[in-house]
Amino acid sequence: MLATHKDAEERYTILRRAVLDEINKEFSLTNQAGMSARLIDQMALSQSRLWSQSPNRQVEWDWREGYSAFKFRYPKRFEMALWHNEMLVSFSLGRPTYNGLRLRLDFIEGNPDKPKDIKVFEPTVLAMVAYAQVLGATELRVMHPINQDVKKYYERFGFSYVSKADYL
Amino acid sequence: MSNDKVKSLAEKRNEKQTETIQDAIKRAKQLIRNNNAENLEEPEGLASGDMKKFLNNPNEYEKDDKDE
Repeated sequence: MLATHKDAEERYTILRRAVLDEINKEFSLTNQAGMSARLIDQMALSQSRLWSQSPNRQVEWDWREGYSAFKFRYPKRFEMALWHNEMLVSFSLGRPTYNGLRLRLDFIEGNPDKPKDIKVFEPTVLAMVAYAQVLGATELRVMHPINQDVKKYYERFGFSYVSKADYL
Repeated sequence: MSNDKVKSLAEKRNEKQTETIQDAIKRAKQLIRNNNAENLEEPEGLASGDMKKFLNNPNEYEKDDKDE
């Protein structure tokens, strides 16, 4: 890893942590007991392997491989692992565009077996808005919703679907 | 400049950044409330993205929103 890459990784990790700290304060303020936002680590990646055994899972992703490749490529990335007590309930990964004006949510996956009352998209949006604020980005994009239900759900949050490139 | 002064400036910058993060979260929450989206049930198996495409060709995946 180049020194400049390592420096960027360290600098942006500080910013990522600052955002996650604020999301955790939000969980406390809104009485979402047991919820916590953390950086993606080995423990989370190990737990995500359990998702592949779920019949409810909609995608066949290897987060270990995906996270490793994304992390290496994008030191300015957005990342979050959401936990409910000891259960990993979602992963999300994104990055600013090269002109810095937009923040993309490249991947999000909720634990296919999480309890219905545990929500992961709303805290992910809040964390992305906060990270966009830190970076000076003014627009969020959610790439490639996996189906119509997910797309419609995102639209309810105010996102607009752009069909030619499949993002909101 | 003394270390104390440097520390003080850094602390002030951090405080300001924390305020702006909090303000951004507050605004986003209000927007979500205005859209009546806060109590919606999440679709089962919520996911988006195409990790296989990214792993196969990250350069192409970067261009997916067409205005990089």
